[in-house]
Amino acid sequence: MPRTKITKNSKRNREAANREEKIRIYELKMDSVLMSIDDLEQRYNAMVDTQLQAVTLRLQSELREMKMGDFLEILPNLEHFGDFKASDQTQHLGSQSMYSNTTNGGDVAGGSSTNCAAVTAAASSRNDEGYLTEDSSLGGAVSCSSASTLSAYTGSMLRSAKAMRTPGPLHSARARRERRSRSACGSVIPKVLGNTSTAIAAGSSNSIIVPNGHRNSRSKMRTPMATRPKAISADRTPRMLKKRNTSPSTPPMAFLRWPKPGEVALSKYGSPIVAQVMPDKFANVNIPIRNGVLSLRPKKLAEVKAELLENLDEDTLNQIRTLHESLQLIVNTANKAALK
Amino acid sequence: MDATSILDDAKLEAFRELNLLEKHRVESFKDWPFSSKSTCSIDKMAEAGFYWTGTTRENDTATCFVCAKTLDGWEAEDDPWKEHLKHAPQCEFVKMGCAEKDLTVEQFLNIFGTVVKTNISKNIKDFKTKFVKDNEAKLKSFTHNQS
Repeated sequence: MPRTKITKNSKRNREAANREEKIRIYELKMDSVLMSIDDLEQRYNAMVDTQLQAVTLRLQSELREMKMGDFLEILPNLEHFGDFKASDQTQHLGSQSMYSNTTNGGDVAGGSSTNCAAVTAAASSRNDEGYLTEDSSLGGAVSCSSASTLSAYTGSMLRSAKAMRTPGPLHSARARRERRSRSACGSVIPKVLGNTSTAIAAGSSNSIIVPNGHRNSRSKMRTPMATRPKAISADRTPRMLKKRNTSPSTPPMAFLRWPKPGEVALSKYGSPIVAQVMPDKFANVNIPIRNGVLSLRPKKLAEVKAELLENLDEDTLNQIRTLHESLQLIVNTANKAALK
Repeated sequence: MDATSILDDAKLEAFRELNLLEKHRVESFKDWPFSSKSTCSIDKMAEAGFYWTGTTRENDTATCFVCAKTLDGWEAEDDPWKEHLKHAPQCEFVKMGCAEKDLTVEQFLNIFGTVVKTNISKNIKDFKTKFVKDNEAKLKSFTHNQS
């Protein structure tokens, strides 16, 4: 019986191909490593900037304007920047840790991951023993915004006020979810609403969006089950058929549409849908265009797909321009305020 | 006073590597051909931002701690500030144009940021160069072994 003739040098060919493949992989990996190193560099540099900005903001203006010569003289008496008092330099305030943040400047390069909030929080909170707790981060945010205008005295008032916080659920826990009964009527809507942000942000599949997100009042009598959202769409295509095995995530700019009146939005690996009430906590831009919505989220936009812009008309473009100018103005003003 | 100055040293010791402080720059000069009376004495060099990067053979080499400009061939009547400005007009420190003791704390913090960032970039660049070189050597030996 004849059989397929195997040429002698096929093995060698295979080896050559193998080798080329390995070299190709090497080049790919090399490129990606180099890119991630660049990325790290940018991150560290940005971290230095943030930390320094935080330190500068925290500094009292007398200290900020002080000449280095004088500063180096009083330095032995200072454990932390916060210890400095314009009138009485020897008075020590206690557990403020700004100084260590600057002396560890080298550590910033080494990979310390504290951020602005952590810095200010650590400096402004006494009862957290140096850890970033919710209390301190809230307090830190307060003193971060106020440090430039308020005196150190008000800062310590804030601190003592915080120390007297009554025990109970944390602020975030209270804000996240109101206490409600476990009845179907009470719990369904909040739960669904909580999902909408993840549904839009991550394009997560099995979450259901209620287009009109008002909370049903408990005083009204109604059949509990009627408020449960039902999928109206007849599209029952299994998700595997669509061959989208990469995890879907919303790009910085995406094309979405508004739900039609009374429509229950259901996204199963499809294009993400805008709920009429945007529960998002972050800054975003939704631009209504001819047959949908351009939704921009605060992520870096690498490229603009031409088909997204096909439905932009002149008016919308002008409006976007105005928006752009306004946003730019906000950014510039904020920058100026920070650099002041 | 001794105790406090030791404490002071400990606080600032972390910055020695960056030659951030005039004091540390002064101390970096292990050797220098000019006397303390000349216009480019060690003190004046350090004031203008230079630290010593010389060797026993070439002892008149100094580098700026901000812009990393390295200058040698100094002459006794050279003014370190003027030479710095002439050779590295972009340097942030020279642009401010005043000695450490006359900088405000805020200005100094800005300089500090620049120095740290330059240092990060330099370290990363060095690492990348070494990394690429090592791996290219490996690739070379790999391709050579096969052929």
